Amino acid sequence: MTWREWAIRNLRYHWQDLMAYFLSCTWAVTLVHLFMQVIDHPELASDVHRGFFFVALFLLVFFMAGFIWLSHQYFYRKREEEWELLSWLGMESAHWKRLLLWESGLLAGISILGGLGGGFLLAPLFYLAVSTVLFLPDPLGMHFSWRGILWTVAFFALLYFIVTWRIWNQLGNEQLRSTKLPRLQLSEKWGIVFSLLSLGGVWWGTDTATWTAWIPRFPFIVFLGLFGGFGLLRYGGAWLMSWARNQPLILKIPSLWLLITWLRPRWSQDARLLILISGMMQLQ
Amino acid sequence: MLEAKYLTKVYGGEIGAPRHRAVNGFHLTIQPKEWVGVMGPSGSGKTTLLRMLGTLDLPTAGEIWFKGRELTQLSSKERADFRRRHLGFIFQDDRLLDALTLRENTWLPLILAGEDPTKMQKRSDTLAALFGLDKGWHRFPRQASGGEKQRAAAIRALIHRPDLVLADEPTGNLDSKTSRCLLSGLEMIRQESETAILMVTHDPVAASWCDRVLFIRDGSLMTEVRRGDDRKLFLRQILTVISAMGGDSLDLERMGNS
Repeated sequence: MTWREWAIRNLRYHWQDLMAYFLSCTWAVTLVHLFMQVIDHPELASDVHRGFFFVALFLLVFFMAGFIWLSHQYFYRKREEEWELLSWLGMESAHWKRLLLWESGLLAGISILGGLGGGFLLAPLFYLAVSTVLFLPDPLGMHFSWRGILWTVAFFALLYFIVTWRIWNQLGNEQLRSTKLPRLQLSEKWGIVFSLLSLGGVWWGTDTATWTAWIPRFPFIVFLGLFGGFGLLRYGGAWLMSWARNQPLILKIPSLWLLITWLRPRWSQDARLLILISGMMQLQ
Repeated sequence: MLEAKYLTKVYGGEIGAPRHRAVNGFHLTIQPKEWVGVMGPSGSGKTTLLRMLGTLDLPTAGEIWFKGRELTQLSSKERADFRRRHLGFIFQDDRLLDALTLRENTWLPLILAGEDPTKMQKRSDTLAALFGLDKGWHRFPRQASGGEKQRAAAIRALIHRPDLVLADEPTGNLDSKTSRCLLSGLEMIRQESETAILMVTHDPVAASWCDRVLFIRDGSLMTEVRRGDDRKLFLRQILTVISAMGGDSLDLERMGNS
């Protein structure tokens, strides 16, 4: 059995766990590919329109990178017993690298190819939707940009490589099992205060910005929006749970939806909140 | 081949945590081809000793010499390399990878060693015949019985011809027939190679396959019993020591099955 065959067997065995993640990654590649194609479309003459798509693409890439990073780490953490056994059998850094590169390479390859394929299939529909939303006098014609394809492939290949390198580094140093995801430790009260201040900053930043001032402020607005939205749900939720503990049942009802997420490991809760906020922000 | 001197392992001792001396100044020597058993009550430090000898845990104090190398001084990478080349592990719970078939699981040490796949298959099939694992060889662990999985784990521990096999209660989850099959397979391999075996066990019958049995209590060596020509006499000696220790290392139900 070769390393490639071993990696294929691992992916096949963990397929049910990986399916949702794989489909999300493929969809992410599709979206990024479509946005890249529109940005590089010769018939999209307006810089304002192009700027709008750049901002949307930035948001998409930012949250997708976070999603892939966290999901990848989660899947490798779930295989803790497997890593422990292999470490006992004498698996060392170079071996981890081989196995991980094969596994991630296969996943990345299938996701990227599937995503590009999805992009090609959905492009006519997407061009039509873009033309309608932007009130373009003539709908965008079919056009495929090699530059768009290359950027999409390069971005996702680099992202997968960095994530794999990080896991390899942790497995080589036997850290994957011992380290927790970085977590900002704040009390609930201060967490809520900082979250509200951040969201206030987002509101002020977007409300007072002119179109030209908007672009340089954009990364700060994204950061504050992420921290504020995520923090408010997380710290507010924790506060609501602790407050509702001593209340009559009728007052507990608003916090019951949070209880469902608390029955699962904390990481999944964080990931769900992150995806929820990214979705909300993209809707905005 | 292997010599442990003043081996000590202390757990705890951080601020507020109680200190527990799991292994206390233990001495041990293992020669090539030797089969050494370790018995003792639960919590006596058997598994800790095995983990230290297997370089999975570092001792708090003491030295472990293996063919002229001091193992406690090795780096993490060197320890992994040492385990890969020189050691085989058999655990009570087989610890096989669920993604691979029993046969493929046995190839793991050879894959890590970069062996030729044809050689892997040949060697594993030879050992499978020796351990009576021809049937069910291509099954996945979830489809195999406990005995089949444990025999596959034993083949995995032996396939790369290690110098020392460390077995932590290998017959703990097996019935008497499967236990006998596993132990006789280990014995045959030992006879035809230079492989030594260190086996932690609660089972006196399994211990009677050894050349000598070390009895430990509270992390220290209590006594040692050596096997002569008569295995039944050896078994009686083991039982006598166990009863002298209070009998609390015995799982009477399991012994009844044996």
